[in-house]
Amino acid sequence: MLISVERNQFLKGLSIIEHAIGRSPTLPVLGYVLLKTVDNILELTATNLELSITTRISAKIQTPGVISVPYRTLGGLLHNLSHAIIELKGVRETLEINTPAQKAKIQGGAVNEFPLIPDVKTKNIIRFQNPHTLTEDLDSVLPAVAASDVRPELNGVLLEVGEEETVFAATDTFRLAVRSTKDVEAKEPKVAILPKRTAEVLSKLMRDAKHVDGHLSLTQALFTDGTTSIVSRLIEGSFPDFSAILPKQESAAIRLSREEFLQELNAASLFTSRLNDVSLTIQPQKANLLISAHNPDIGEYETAVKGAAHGQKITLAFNYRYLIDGLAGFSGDQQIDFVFVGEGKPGLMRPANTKDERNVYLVMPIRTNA
Amino acid sequence: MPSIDTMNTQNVWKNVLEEAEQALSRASFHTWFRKTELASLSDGIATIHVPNEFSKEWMETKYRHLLLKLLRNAAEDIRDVVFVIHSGESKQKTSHRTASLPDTHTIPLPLTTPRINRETNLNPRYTLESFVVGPSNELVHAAATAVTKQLATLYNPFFVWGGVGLGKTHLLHAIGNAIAKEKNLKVRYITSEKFTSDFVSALRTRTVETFRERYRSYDVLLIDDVQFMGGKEKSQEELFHTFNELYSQERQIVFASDRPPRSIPELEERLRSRFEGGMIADIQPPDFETRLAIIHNKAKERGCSLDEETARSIAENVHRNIRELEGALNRVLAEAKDSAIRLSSRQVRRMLANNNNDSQHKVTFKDIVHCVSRYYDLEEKALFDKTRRQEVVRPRQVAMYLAREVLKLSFPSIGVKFSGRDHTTVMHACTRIQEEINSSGPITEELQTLHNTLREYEEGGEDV
Repeated sequence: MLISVERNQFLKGLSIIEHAIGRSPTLPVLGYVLLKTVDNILELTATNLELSITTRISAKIQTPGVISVPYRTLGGLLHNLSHAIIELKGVRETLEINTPAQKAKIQGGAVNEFPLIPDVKTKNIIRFQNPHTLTEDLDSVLPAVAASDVRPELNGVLLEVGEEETVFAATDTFRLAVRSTKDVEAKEPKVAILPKRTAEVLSKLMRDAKHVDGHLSLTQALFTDGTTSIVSRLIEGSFPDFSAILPKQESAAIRLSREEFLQELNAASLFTSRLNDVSLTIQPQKANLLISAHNPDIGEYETAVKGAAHGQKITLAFNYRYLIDGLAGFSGDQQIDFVFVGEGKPGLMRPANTKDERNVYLVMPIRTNA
Repeated sequence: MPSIDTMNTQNVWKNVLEEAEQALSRASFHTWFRKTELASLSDGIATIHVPNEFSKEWMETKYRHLLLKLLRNAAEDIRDVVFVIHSGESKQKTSHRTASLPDTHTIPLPLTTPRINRETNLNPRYTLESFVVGPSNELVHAAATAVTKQLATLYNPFFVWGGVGLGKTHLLHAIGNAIAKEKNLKVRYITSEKFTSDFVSALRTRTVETFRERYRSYDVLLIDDVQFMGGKEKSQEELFHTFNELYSQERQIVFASDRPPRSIPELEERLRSRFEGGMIADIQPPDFETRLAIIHNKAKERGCSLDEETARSIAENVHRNIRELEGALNRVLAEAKDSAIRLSSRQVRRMLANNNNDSQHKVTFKDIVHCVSRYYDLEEKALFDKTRRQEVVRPRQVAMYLAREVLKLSFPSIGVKFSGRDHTTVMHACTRIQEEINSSGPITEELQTLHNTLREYEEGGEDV
């Protein structure tokens, strides 16, 4: 293999596949990057067995070839080379890196030991027309993904591709975030649970893509924008049927400015106790939402956020982090409706003026007797 | 000046920090410099990230000159230093850390996971409806029904114990089936043996995490034969953690055992107390009427009808164990089919007696004495002493009761065996124990265990 590449491009490629670099003392090959020439491009691949990323950069190929080298050595070296063009030369398992001034030899590994990336291409392509909303939708449900893996099916993001719309959902049993979009074209409905890490990487890497194509098999998924491909394991199991727990009634509701609510929550959060609890009271008579937090060691805070409200006066305590996570999922200076269902029942946030069940954030209150 | 790499700025900053450390006191260096970094060096201006407003102020007034001097040592053309507050990264990190703590205060959403052909390991034949209820198992049946109605809130854990072949396993399956049918939850029935072997193989293949994930994901966990957990320390520990995890998430746990928790040998105290923390119910051997009802039920299941007389004679001859009852019934039915005649009750009796003779090695008086003295931790001869110490009197009464009950000895002959005591003493002992049984004192459990041990003598003739 003999090729020359532009240093910055090479570095950019490496920073993309870095998300799939694994650290395993028993399988050091997961810390390697596979360099492979395809026509007149150089393909970079890394995998941690759960998630694999491949990206392509343009290169001047003199002799084609393939080689695998440790990511850390290669990346670290490239950061310290200042020449714009770098020559790569593969001699058996050794990669020589040459610039007019520097010469390096990196001891690589056997190429056939590099894990095979599963081929997930299917005929039924799911096309995400607008990767920007894909990123937005993923980012707004990701905070609700369960942090522990006690229930594996909650340790990821539900992707439910339907005929009319595509739904993203995540829950850690304390809150549930649901988003939907119509910017997805698919031939047939599909359901999958993307592992949390995959969803994060997908959101990060596809942000600026023109469009993203997805292929879902039973156990694997492939997402590609033409240059970069993400192949990931899917979580087995079935996501809870959340439509059953979306509240149908309401006891009280208030319309709030998202930014104002967020700001007041941030202020109140300074005064919360160990439970992170803020107490919220919808006061329809006064047309406001009373927010209070109290911690005997720190002090207390009380504020009222104005908003059109109806229903009965009702107080619930919430973990402020859950509320902030939920608000962060809605965009900009939106007005949001905050609905209380009753004591011991969830609170529900959604963009104002929609009754859309597919764009909601459900959050459970803190036990009052605790 | 050529643009300097990030690597380069890091090196510059490292040098600066090293020199600053020497120039300043340890305390002030740690307070002000630890969380800083050199963000960029361009056009002779060094931009330094500081964690907050306060340290920005401090750095600007106190260390500006020092830093400028040190930076010039590293890169000559630096003219100025700018401090910028940059706390984004550290803030994110803390929020991540706290978020990963398990939340025990927020009420969980009432989510259920639809069951998708996941093996529950349940036998659909066993249902609550097919469980024949009599006075001996009324309580346990009622409790089991209640468990299926009010999952994890009423009796958690639910601990069923009773002798061999009295329907513990039936009950466990029945609870599982009832829940699986109505609630669409993840139910799993396993034996403690399976739990242990799963755990051991998880240890061997280093997949303990997967093992935990799996066991901690069930909504209802039914564990049979937990008495075999005795002495298996690591498995007990794992079961303990699994239990705690499930319990704290309000999942239903049901245990079955052939003896009460406190009689399971080598069981860790913390596990024992958890077994005892919910509802403990025992299944007693069925009385005559229940046995009769069971025989009729079983016969109906097999599509045969049994005349009252035959049923009665089976019920009379097999009284300890429902599994044996079923076996007896099978034999009778097979025999009846073969000989194509109706069996007289005497034939039935003879047939069953034949069969029973093989296994029924007689329990001897010695066995009872041995058993009782072991159970109450006494010397065998203490039972025969002329003492009225309380710790001896009661075991002696129990032994007399058993001699009467199991060996069907006469009162005077029992008296003689106990160093020539009067027959009225024996009668008194039997009445006392009977009274205790009637008032359902702890004696019921004790007797059950003793009976079980005696049965072991009887079956294996083993020296326990």
